[in-house]
Parts: sequence; C-alpha cells; structure tokens
Amino acid sequence: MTEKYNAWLLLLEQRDQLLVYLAVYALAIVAAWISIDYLPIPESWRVWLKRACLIGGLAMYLFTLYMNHKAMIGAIGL
Amino acid sequence: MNRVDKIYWSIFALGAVLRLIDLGHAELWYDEAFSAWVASLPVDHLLIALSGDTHPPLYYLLLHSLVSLGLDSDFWLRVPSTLFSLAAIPLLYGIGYMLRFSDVARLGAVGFMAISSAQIHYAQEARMYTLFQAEILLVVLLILRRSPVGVFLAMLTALYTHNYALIYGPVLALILYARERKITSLWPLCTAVFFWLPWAGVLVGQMRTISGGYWIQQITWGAQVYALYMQFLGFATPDQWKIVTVISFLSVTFLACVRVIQTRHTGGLMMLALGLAPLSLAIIVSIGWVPILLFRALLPSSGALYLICAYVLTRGPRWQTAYAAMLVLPLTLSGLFGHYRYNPINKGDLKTLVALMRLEWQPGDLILHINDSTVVTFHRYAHDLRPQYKLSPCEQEPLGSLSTVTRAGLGIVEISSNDLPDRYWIVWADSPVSPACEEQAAQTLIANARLYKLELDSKLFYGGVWVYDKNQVRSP
Repeated sequence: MTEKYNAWLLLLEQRDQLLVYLAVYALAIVAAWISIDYLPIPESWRVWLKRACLIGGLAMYLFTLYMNHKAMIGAIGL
Repeated sequence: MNRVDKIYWSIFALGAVLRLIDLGHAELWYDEAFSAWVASLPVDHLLIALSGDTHPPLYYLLLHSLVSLGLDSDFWLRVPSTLFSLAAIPLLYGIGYMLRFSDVARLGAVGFMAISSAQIHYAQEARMYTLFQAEILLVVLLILRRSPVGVFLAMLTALYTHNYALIYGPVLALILYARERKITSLWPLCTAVFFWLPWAGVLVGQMRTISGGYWIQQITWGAQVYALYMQFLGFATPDQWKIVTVISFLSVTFLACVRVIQTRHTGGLMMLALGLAPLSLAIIVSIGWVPILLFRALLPSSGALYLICAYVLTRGPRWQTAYAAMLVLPLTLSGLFGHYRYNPINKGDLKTLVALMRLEWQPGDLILHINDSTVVTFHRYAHDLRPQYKLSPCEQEPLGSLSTVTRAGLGIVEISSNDLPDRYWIVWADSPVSPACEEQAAQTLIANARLYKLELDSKLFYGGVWVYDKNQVRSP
C-alpha cells in the first residue's frame, strides 16, 4: 500500500490509544465511585465523600472543557 | 392524558422536529448516493447490483417503490429513515413499559433518543440503519407482548434488511427464552431464519465477491470502545467537547452495567444483553474469523443502552438525577449543534463543483473517473454531464471498491487510458485506501492536463477535477 495508507493506519492507532486511555479512565472513575459503597466508614461520611466526589467530578469536567484538546482531537480524527 | 403522557408526546414531537430540520439540506454522500442509484434501477438490475454488494435487498426495494412514485429528491430519499427513527421512540418506550422501568427512566431514555445526535444522524441518512433499529426493537417488544407471529414477521424483515440480524438472532433468542422459559418458544426466530435461507446463498456469493477488498480493519481495543461510544454520539460532535463526552458516556455506561448486575433487575439484564451482547458477538466473530465490527449496524443496541443508563441515573435521590442531567445535557446539545453545523460540510458540496464544470462543458466531452468513489456521487449530481466512464482498474483496487457484479448491475462502463478522446475531464479522489498503481495511473493522466479545481489537499486525501485537451497540452 501507499505512504498515505501507512499514515492513516498510524492515525487509527493513535485514536485507538486515546480511546483506550479514556475508557480506562472512565472505568477507574466508576470503580472509585462504587468502592465508596464498600468502605468501612460511617454512613454520614459516605454521603459527604460522595458529594465531594461529585463536586470533584464536575470540576474535572469543566477543567477538561477549559483545556480544549481541539487541535489534538482534530489531528487524530477521533 | 396524564402528566407522563404529556411529557412523552412533547418528547416525541421534539424528536420529530429535530429529525425534520434540514432533512434535505446536506448532499447525499457516497453511501446515500449508492442507495439512491440502486433504488432507481429496475428490480432485476437492483438484485444483480446487490448480489455483488454486502446488503440484503429490503431497504433498497422500499426506496425503489418511493422512487417509482417520483419521490426521488434528497429530502424524500431520507424520509423513510426519519420515520423509522421516529418509530424507535414509541418502541423503546413500550419496551421500557413492558420491562417495568419507572416512568422517569423511560422518559429519560426516549428523551435522550429524541435529541441524541447519533440518532438524528441516521434519521437523516438515506441508509437502512434506522429501519434495522426499528425492526429489532419491534422484535423485542413483540417478544415481551407474547406475539410469536409478529416476532416471526419482524425478524424476517430484519434479516432481509441487514446481515447483522444474524448477530442479533442469538441475543433475541436469549431474550425470548428468558421470557418464555421453553426451548420450543424459539420457533418464530427459527422459522424466520428458515425463510431467510434463500438469501443465504446470495450472502455466501457476496462474501466471496468482496473477499480481499473489504474495508473493515482488524479489530483493536480502541475499535471496540469506538463502537460503544458511537451509540451515543453523532459524527459531528465539536472537537472541544469530544474528550469530556467520551469519558462521561463511557462512565455512565459502565456504571449502568454494574448497577444492573447488582440489582438483578430482569428488564435491565435483558436490556444489558441487547445493548452489549451484539457488540461482544461481533468482536468474537472478528477475532475468530474476519473483521466484521461495524458500529453503524449496532444502532439497534443504542436504545437498550439509553434505557439502562436512564434507569441507573434516575433511581437515586432527585438531586443526583439533576446532577447527571446537568452533565449529560450540555454534551448532548453540543452533539446536536455539531450535527446541524458540520454534517452538511462533512457530506460535501458536489453541486457547486458540478455547476462550475457545466460552465466549460463542451459537446463531445466525457468524464473519466479514476475510481468508484466519484462515479457514484457524480451519477447523482452530474447526470446531465455524459458520458461518464471509470478508468479500467490496475492490478489492485482501492479497499471497499464496488465489485464487478455491482458495477455491471449499475451499468458503470470502464474505459482504458488508450481509448480516451482528444478532450476529456478527469475526476480523481485519492484516499489512504487507494493502491499505489491507481495513484500512478492518475498522476500520469493529470500530468498533461489542466487543473480545473482542487477539492481536497490534505495529508491523507487529495482530489479534484482536471481537463485534458490535446490541443492545449503543456510542452514537456
């Protein structure tokens, strides 16, 4: 095949790597959230811990938007 | 009409409006133009053309009947997809009702289905995916309503709409068995497969025809994640929003899977099977046999995923539901904005190019296409600029090219570079899947031609229109 084909495969590989990274990140978020239910702590602490996680999650959400990975995403065609 | 019904009908109306906005605005891209071309053929030619392609005939026959009535504009060719996409809303709502999901969960799921850019993309595409989605959801609903004849008929139509019905078959059998707890209750699905068998021979022939030239790539971990998140997103989500969108929807999906298994909600488990088992089966077949993972064909699973996600996000305290909505809604709206803003751009602007070509078109001119990609779209928008030929292929063809059988069915005529007249137009779209020999042949032809308009010039794609005129050949 041509150089373009190899370049295209390389882009697909980069896109795959990013997607796997994001999926692992999402899995880690879910695992952390679920594990709160099993922590040996008082119920009131659990509620506060969950609220703290939700606020942290919102902060990460806004920070990721603010970081604006537009150029990187555009380059690999996610 | 109670409050829940009012909200449901408002969602339905919103879904209808969003699917109709700009329905005929974007041009038909390659796949849609192929649908339009096949649908315009007489039935015998239509079946010949499809026997060398990868799809069963039902959707094309449906479009054919529409075209026969004179409804062949871009708008009308997309109307069936819009209607089937809209039909998926009550079907999902009915499934949610039969499986005893709460009102809020059902409204959340159909609300997302109504405004999801993934759904609206296919609702505005002249392809068979929304029909396939409606058929599979109908099979599930009829299984839950214990209507075996209906299950048989709906499954039969699904089998004649998309080959992925064979992937959905075992999953639907599992749901049917879980509902009836009798192995004999599987007869509607088995009978549907029996009545599909005449097409099985054609399918084997199709697979032989396209072997070696199939464009689906080897399966990777990333491809599996891509197939999953494309159930939530359209193709045109703005780049800035993509990372957050992917993380958010994957997190919600993973959480939904865990919670459904934890709670052992029967309906949730059925929807989990419908949402993820077809993807898993496609992955197994791709690893064990040939790559077949096609995320578009997994559209019927998307509704099931929406339902379990809505179930999980709405079963906690109200503030948690509000929190989830606060995160998900902006992402969904950004996808929607991206769809209306970028979809027409992504689908191309061939009409403008063809209008320019008409300005310099002379009697006796012909168009020479280097490969199939432009033959199909030019047939749609430049049918008055005739004759048009495709350059005889070199020893290798681009991946995903039309087969010889399909070209014969469509009436595509090939021409050798030795038989070209003194003046002709060259249309070339070079992509990463084009072979080196095709690139060489095209470069040789355009070397002595005048560039008329360059349409693509990026790292991976190059293409445009050139005019060769023997009397104006540049000196070497």
